[in-house]
Amino acid sequence: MDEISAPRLVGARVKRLEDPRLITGRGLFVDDVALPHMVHAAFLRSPHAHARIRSIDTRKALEEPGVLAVRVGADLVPRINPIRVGGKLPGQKVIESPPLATDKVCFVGDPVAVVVAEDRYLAEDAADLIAVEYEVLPAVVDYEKAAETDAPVIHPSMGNNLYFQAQLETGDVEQAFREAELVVRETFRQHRYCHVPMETRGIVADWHETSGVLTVWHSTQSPHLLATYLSNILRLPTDRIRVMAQDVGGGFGQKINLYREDVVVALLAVELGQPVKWIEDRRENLCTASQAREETVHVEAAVSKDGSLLGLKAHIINDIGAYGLYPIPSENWASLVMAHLPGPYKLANYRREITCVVTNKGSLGPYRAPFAVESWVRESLMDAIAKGVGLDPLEVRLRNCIREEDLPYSSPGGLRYHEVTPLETLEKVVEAAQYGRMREEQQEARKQGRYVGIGFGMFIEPTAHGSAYYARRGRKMGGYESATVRIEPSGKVKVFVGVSPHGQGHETTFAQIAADELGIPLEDITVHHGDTYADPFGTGTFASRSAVIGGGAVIRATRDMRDRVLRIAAHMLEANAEDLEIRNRVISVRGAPSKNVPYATVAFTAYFDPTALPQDMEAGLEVTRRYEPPPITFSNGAHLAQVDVDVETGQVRVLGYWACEDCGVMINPMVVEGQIQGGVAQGLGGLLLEHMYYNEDGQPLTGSFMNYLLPTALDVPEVRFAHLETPSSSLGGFKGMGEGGVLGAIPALSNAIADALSPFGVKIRQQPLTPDRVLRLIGVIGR
Amino acid sequence: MKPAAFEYVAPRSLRKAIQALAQAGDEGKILAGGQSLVPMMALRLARPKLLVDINRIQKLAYIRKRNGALHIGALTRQREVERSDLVRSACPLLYEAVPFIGHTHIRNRGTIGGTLAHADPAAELPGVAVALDAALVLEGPRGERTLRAEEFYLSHYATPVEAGEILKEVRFPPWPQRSGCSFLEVSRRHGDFALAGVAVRLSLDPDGRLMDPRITLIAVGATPQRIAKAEDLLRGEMAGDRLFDEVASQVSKEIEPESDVHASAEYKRHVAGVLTRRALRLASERARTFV
Amino acid sequence: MIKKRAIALKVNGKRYQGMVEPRRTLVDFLREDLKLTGTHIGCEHGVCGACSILLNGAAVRSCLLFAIQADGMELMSVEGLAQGTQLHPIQEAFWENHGLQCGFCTPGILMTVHAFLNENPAPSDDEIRLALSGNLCRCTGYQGIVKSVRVAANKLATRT
Repeated sequence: MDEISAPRLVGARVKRLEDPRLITGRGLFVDDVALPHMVHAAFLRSPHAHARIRSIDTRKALEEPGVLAVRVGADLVPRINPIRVGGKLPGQKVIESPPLATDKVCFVGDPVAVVVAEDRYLAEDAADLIAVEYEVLPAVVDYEKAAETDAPVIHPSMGNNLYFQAQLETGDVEQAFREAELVVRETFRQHRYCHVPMETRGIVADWHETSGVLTVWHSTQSPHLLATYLSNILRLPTDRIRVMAQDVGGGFGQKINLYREDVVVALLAVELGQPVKWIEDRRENLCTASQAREETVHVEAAVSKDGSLLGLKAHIINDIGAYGLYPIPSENWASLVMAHLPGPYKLANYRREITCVVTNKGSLGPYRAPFAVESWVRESLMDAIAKGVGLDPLEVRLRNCIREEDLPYSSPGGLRYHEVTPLETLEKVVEAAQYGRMREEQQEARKQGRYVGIGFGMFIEPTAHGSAYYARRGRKMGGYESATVRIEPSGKVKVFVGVSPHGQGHETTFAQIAADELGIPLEDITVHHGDTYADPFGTGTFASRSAVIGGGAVIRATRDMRDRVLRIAAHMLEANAEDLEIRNRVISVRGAPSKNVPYATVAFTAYFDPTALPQDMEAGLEVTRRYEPPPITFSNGAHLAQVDVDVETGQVRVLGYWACEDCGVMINPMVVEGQIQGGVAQGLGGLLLEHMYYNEDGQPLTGSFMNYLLPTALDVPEVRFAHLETPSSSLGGFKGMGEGGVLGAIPALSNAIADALSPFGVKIRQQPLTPDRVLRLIGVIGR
Repeated sequence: MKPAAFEYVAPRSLRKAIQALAQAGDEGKILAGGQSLVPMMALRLARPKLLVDINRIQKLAYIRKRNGALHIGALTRQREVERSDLVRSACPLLYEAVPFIGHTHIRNRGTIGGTLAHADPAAELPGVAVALDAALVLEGPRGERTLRAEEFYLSHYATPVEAGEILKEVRFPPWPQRSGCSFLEVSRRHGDFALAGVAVRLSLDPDGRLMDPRITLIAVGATPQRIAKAEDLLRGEMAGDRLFDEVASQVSKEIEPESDVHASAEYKRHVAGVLTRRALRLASERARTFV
Repeated sequence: MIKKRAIALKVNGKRYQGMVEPRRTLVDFLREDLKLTGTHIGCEHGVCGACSILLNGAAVRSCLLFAIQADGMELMSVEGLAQGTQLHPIQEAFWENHGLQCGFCTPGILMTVHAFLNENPAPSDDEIRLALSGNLCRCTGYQGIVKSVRVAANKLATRT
């Protein structure tokens, strides 16, 4: 970099530093790990949704060639602390999941036995030979009926299938409804779907008897937390557990909790004294890893005749599946829905109720925007209000939107919005898409018998939750992040972080930050993650936290480091630190470039010539800092979709898609756009294609990619972007992002489809919108 | 998901393949493209004890014209057919249907014989074979026999192929002059199994009347459904939108589709009618380009 | 136990030998026996395309082939794209245009694109999307990939 002033890297579209190994097939994903004497596990899983286990006979399996061990629940339970979730808040019941099912199975895929053999083929052969006698019980599948008194009880210790219930009210809801000139009542149902990272779950556990160290390679989003979880359950101290996750093939929230399979494989590794590998296959991933969504939301909106929202009542009934997922209690997701439901609109009076029930299905876990039903419900409600009072959907949003003069805004969901720009993003997306012209084109299309529609999706996205956020909710969880910066004797920089990317480009974005702060070129910086022995303690990558919190920690550490380096250089040059500048790996006195010292010389001196350092300074160049962000940082966006519906076949084509997001200062706009594009794809997939469908016996009928349909390159439109950058008050001015694509896409597309079909009076209150459902909504079939 | 163990032979002659299959009886399966079989084996839903890999029998792969008829060896890859100028001119309906099969990777391995013999009710080529009265030539321990496509499809995945028999060739009759065709399907995503599909051919006599019309539907029954009543309505008539609407309506009435995870029976019934109407119009336009 | 058989094949121009049970899939043979772990397993039912490689020049699902079927054949996997440290133009294009995020589906996509551009060197965007429709990606939403393929086509066209 020989320029007079080095351009800032934060804000630049920098090619990713992690790409070279990934594009040459040299990534290290957990299935790429091969250790001497490594053996393989396979699970035998329940074919029934709900059954008592009468007996398990493993004798034939044990006799198979190449089999080292066959274990069942009873073998493992005494060796661990129970895996329990819940029981912390008033009214919150406890759900315990045994590592392997013991007396009953509660969903299809519930693990019943594990086989360890020389290879996966042999392990599966042996698993086939395990004979399990089941007494089949009726399955609870309809979550709206799960808590009824005559429903079969899944967990006897719970008494019934109701896991959690709560009610909250802010303001005066009854008054609001008395004043209402219009009341809109709707019920929304969102289906169950799956995260489907392209890399399934996986673990290699290796126990060294003599040192008492358990090394775990894992496809996790949170290496340090995983080590803590394993420690809690396995009764091993955390300093004896090393978790490594170098490359992870997507997570989307599926890989943040501890799974029973992790515990089982670790136990077997300890028992056998050999590395044990388990790589989940795709059927297991669809049926037994965490699943997502599935809820009913009843809403009532009190509206004035000019379209202003006066009051809101909402009740969510959420299906949490058979078990809780350690350690986050499952009502967390429904609570988030209710907190965020009012979204970017002004509202003073809000009553909400949460009901969470267990059923005989896979367990609920957070999936990119786990609370996403809120944006679909609210944005559909906005369109319903628009129709009710005779306004354009844009107009009703403009009227209700939070404006700059309203900030800071305390939402009745208990959130405090500041630094958000919903109105501005709405205006910008409308301009970018040429909304007025789109409406004209829509009229033209209607005359030609084509059904074109336009839909909005607005949202405020909660990101970067700080420790105060967790403390207020009684959860023992750190919201901070850590970064260690080390300048090597050569002058090259290593940054070690506690976040754990799985596609988000942290190796690049954090290097961009470090390069700007240290004044060192990008090619001299490497970012390290995914090794709990090397990286400072951090919570990992999820809930859109890394830019703000991880970025903040990197800023802190690198600023401290820069100060250090300049102090040393000042000492060596007999100058003042404030008079020094860094350019092209050289530190010189401003205005007197001949008075300089190379960065590498400073570094070398710090390690090998410590007596040349300032007197009070320690040797070496390594700084570890932590950053605690505000309790929540909000980003926000407005999406606009244009679709064409074939009313003879029910197929939907997306004609255009626009997204305006404000995620504060963007570190790398290329990465930001990739995240929005990816989120939109998942939103579209969920709305139109994906469905984790259980039949009335609790059998998953979509347990393979033949029937669980992901969007392809032909299904996902190109998102056109308009960005706003309103800096946040966090260090760096960043805001988190990544979930907004989902939050915006589901309602934008749903509203666009309803708009296209408005000549038929269609209301979309159920997902997915299969072609079949579209034709039913129109009335072409099902009359 | 790893397959259960099996014995494996890869004969280089048809005779040896037949011998191996005949010996294995129910426990043996042909491995051709493997694009349908191997996923079932990986899921352990199929556990053949013997796989007879016929991919080394080179002389089973060919595309030729014989007296106007198109003869295709069973081992010919779908991708070859997709790119064949001969197929394009000698059997345009087949040429139009093949790209609907899965994706390029699937068609690079999948064979014509494989998809015909697999008899998936939603598969495209059985529909084309039935629409065009193709002949399917089998060879087994008791020699060769030829079946008409309509007698070949008994039910879901059920054909009269006996243990030891291999489908070795499919023959499409000569393509009539002044004909237009159309193959259309509706699926959830491109390359997925059809929710409903239609293969149509219309031919015009010197007066411009429809002669020898062919309409066959896929994915709306256990086998491809050739709708004779609809063909009757078209025969001898002049092409026209109102006629096509009536025929489409007749098709909807005739079929008895079943619901599945992706679409209800009602949906399939309705869309079959829509596709029929659209295909008839397209085929009719294309036929007229020859007049 | 079923006896293992000897196979010999070429991968990325190099000769390899192995002893395999008939049921050993080609992708497992590549990854476990030949230690070529660049090709990934995403589903084992032939849908996701993460395992795509070239078999005698044609893109195929290596999870749907048994290693024994590849005896005597020539394969190409992602490891064969770069020449030493010199990246293939397709790889360069993906790097420059954010054609990947987590990278798990990427090798299969690169091989698919390699075969596709060999056959169709000047594709339209629609043709590109159609060619990609047999490969699933969960992270990118495909736009970065489509752009990368467009750029790759240009690079290959201008390469002497």
